[in-house]
Formats: sequence, structure tokens, C-alpha cells
Amino acid sequence: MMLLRIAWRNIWRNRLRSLVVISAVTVGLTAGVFVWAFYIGSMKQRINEVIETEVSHVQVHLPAFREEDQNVSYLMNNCSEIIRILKKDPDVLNTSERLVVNGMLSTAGSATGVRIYGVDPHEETALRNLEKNLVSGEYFPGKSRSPEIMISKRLAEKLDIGIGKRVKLDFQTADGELVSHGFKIAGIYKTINGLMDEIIVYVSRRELSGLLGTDGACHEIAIRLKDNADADQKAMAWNRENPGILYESWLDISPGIRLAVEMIDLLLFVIMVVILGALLFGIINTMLMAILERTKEMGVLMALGMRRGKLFGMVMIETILLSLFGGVTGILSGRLVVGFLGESGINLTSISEVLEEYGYPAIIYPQLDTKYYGFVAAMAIGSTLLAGIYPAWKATRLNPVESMRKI
Amino acid sequence: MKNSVIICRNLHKIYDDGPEPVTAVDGVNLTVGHGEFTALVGPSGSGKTTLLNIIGGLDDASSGTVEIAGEQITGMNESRRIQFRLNHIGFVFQSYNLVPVLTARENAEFVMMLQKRPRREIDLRVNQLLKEVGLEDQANRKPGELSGGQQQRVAVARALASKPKFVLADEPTANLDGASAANLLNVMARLNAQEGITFLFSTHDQRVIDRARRVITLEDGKIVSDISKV
Repeated sequence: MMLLRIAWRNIWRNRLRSLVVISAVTVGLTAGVFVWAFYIGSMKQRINEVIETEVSHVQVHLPAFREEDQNVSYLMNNCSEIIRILKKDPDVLNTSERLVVNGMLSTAGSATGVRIYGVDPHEETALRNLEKNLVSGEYFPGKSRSPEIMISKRLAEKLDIGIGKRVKLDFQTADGELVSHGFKIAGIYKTINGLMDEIIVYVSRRELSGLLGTDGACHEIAIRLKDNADADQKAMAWNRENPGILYESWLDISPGIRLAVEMIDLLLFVIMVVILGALLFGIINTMLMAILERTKEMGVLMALGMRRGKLFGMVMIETILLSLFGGVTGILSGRLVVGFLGESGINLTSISEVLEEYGYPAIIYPQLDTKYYGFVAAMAIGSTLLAGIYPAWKATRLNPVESMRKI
Repeated sequence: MKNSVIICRNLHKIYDDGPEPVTAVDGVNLTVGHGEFTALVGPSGSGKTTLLNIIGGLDDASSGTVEIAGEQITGMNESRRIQFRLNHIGFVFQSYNLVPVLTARENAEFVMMLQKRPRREIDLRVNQLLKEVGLEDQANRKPGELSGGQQQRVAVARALASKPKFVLADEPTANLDGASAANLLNVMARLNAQEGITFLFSTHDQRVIDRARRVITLEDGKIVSDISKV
């Protein structure tokens, strides 16, 4: 109690210096919490986008289809049967059967390579609400006698085409036969993944199936799971049950995302270590200054009978109290900042083109789970203890007689 | 001597960390009895403070022994020596050396708190001491709010709080004006007379020398005279 009292009052002997340290810890932790929340928020938005609009939770293919760069000939002929079994699984929310073929999209003036997805418009909407990404036109309205195609805004701008214009798709069937067919642009969509947008076009599965001659077969089945289901676990279980067919979770299909997810904790840890490391040296410096200023006083305390262990404890308590203020205010202010920006979002539209290249949205909503605040607090406490050890040890090395001679 | 509190035998202290060894205490033999009011005098550099530091267990002797109340402190390990200091020796320093963040009362309590004495006992003892040194109405002031004389009286209260075997006072009046020094000496003389506390001062101050009942003179680390007044 006495040590606590002395330590507490010592902190306020040099108010300005203490307030500078407390402010530094506050700003540092606020920044750390914000960076974490920004990174986690953007990552969660990216993951959400991957699942919602790109990959879904799990995809089913023939192994060779994935191994040989989506070769059109690797078709699953029992798609209906696979879906029938999947739909019995309580974790499965929706499925969508797809044909996937690489081809060339050409207009009168230009051409570009595309990946053509043959989808059932209703299944696809139920699976990932493809329709919500529509920016002009209609989502497979079925009004035209010509087959309809949906292309991205980015591709439309690149080829200088728009709604109602006709384009030609060229691709190869499983038998190696070349097919060339005209489509009318019915809808233009836009997702946050500019790179994928530029190469993906959607047509009706029935239409594409007719052109490929793949009646009842499919290349891909996308599966949407219920929220609490683990995609990796489900994919592994289905793989065990269905040899010869490859079930892959969104993490398998998007290795970049898997890497980011697996590295996130390490990355966040490194960020916080850098921030706390800088603060640590600031605290050590402050405490060493405080000890230097009070060398004589500490000599007297030892002369009077204070044990070195108690002196060590007193300096440690001072360090902890100093950091505790900064730590608590830093975490609280970090939480406030994250709470506010998590609602309003951080508008990065000025660099949206760069973000789209990597599939990130232009408005980031920082978010941080409570466990991370606990983790920040634990790291802050750990570094505070670390910061206190050296100055406290230095204090215990003082010689009472020599210390008392200091002015 | 039957009631000896301090016995120094052939005490030497040689500093050999400079270009040439310096002998600060040179073969001192000294015995201080219970209840003595003794002044250790001598010019600057005569070894008064070094001798006091060795007797107080703050410094090591190069050779010789120091026995306090029958217990030899030379050769004690640091931990035991700290404990011994805490329980048996009171210190009054030249520049008061109070803890600036503690009030007069808290400073006086400090050593008893280190001894882990019960709160009730601490309150009783500290109230009594603050009254004896005439500072009961200044008890809640911090050292910065007290005069030099008042601070030194707080230091005396702190030194006596733990009921030590003796008090070592290193130039206790050096920074005090005449009135404050006289006041402090009256307080210490009264405590010496009433509680039988042994005081050993190092001093240049004639006022202290005049009040001391025994005056030991040190020169070049040696005792050159030891006069007891009747």
C-alpha cells in the first residue's frame, strides 16, 4: 500500500513528462487498434465478397478440371445426383450448377478473352444474389429472341459496348469443335473485383449447354452453406465420402485469401509489436530519467532499510501505473474510433481503382472483435512489465552511500 | 563496557579505486554506551562520515569489526544488514532527505511501515513523536511546505519511530539557522534524556559540540582525543 502510494505520487511529480508518456501510449494503442480494425474489417469485407459474389463456400469439380486449367472436356455427368444428395445436408443452404468455358468475346471492332459461365439465373440469384450487382439493363429478362449475356461494366467500357448491343462468343466444345454464337447484352454488372469482372461473362446455362452439347452435365457446382458451417470441414468430409470428385472450400479456391487469413494474426501481432516496441523504449527512457533524478532519494530509502526487492517493486508499480493510464485510454479511444468508423466507413473512392485490382471495396468498415481488445491489453501489459524491468533493476543496483552523495 | 551499544575494533577503511589508496579510517577503536549523547568532530576529510557509514552498516570496513548491541555487523550479508539497519539504527542526514511525495506524518511512518508494524502501533508512536518534535499541526504537510528546521525534526521523528538502538546523525544542523539548530538539539537532548536513546553525531557545529556529553575528535581517520564531560 505504501509502495503504491509513493509510486502514484511519484508519477505526478513531473506532470508534463508523465502526460507525454500517457499520451504516447494512448496514441500508439489507438493507432494499433485502428490498424488492426482496418485490416480485419477490410479482410472480412474481402472474404465476404469472395463468398458472396465470386466463389461461394464450396465448389465441386472433377479433379482434372482444376488441374488442367478448366479444360472444357472434364464434365461431371451426375450433377443432378450430386445436388440431390447435397440438398439433404442440413448445412447446405443453396447450390448452383454451372458450365464454365474459356473463349473469345468479340465485337465489330475488338475482341478479348473471357471465361463464360453458363448459369441458371434463378439458382445463381438464390446462391449469391448476382442480380444485385447489376448496374444497367436487366438480369436475364428473357425478352429477346437472341440469347442474352451479362457482361461487366469494366468489359463494356473496355470494348465500348452497352445494353442491347450484340457480341459474339467463340469457344471450343468438349469434342474440340469450334462454336461461334451471337449474344445480346441484356445486363451490365459490377463487383468490387475489377480483375475478375474484366474476364467473366454470364450466359444462360441452358443456352450454353445446347451449344456445348452437354445435356445434364456440368463443370462446377457452387454450394452456399449456412452461416455457422465450416467450409473447410465440410469440403474435407465430402471429399472423404465422394472419391473421384473434388470438393474445395473458398479458402482452397482463393489461395491468396487463405494466406491472408492464416497470416492475419501474425501480421497483426507484428504491427502491434512494432508500435509497442516504440512505446517500450519511450517508457524505459522516461523511467530511467525518473530514477536518475531520484538517485539520492532512492539511496536514502535503501539506507533506511528498504530492501532492493521493494525498490524494484516500487519502480515497477510506477511503470505499470503510467502505462495503465495510457493503456486504458488508448484501448477506449481505439474502441471509440473503430466504433465510429465502423458505422460511417472510411471512404477510399479516390483510390478505388487500385483497390478493385485486388478485390477490395472502396469503403472500408473497420471492425474488431472483443477478443482482440483483450489481446491488445495483454500485449500492452506484457510490454509495460518488460519496459519496467530494466529501470527497476537499475534502481536496485544503486549504492546507498554513493547515491546519497548525489546532489 | 557492560551497556555498550557500539563497539568498533581496529577499524580501517581504505579507498583504493583512485590513483593512490586513501585511508579514510585508520585503526579506530571506539565504544559508545547506552544513552550516550556523543559528538564526533574533526575537519573535513577526517573520516567522520565514513566512520558513521560503517557503523550504520551502509559501508563496508576494509578490516576490523563493528558490533552493535552485541551483534557483529561486519561480515553480515546485505540482506541481513538491511534488516538490521531497519530494526536497530535510526538515521538523520545533513540535508534532511525526506521522501518529497510523502507528508510529514507519512515520512515518520515510513520505517515502521517497512517493519510491518500494526497500524494502531504506528499511529500511536508517530502521533507521540510528532508531538515531541513539535510538528503535530504540520503532520499533513509535505517536505516542500516545511522549513529546513521543521524538515530536520521530521527526520528525527522518522529516525526514532522504529525505536532504534541508536541514532546516527550526520551533520544534522549544518543546513539550519541558529534558532532551528537550537530547537532541534533541544528535541534530541530531550529524547535522549527521556527515552534513553543513544545519539552519535558527526559535526562541525560548535552548538552541537557544546551540548554533547562526550566529544571524540578524529583526524586523518584516527581518534586523536576522546573527552567525556562531567
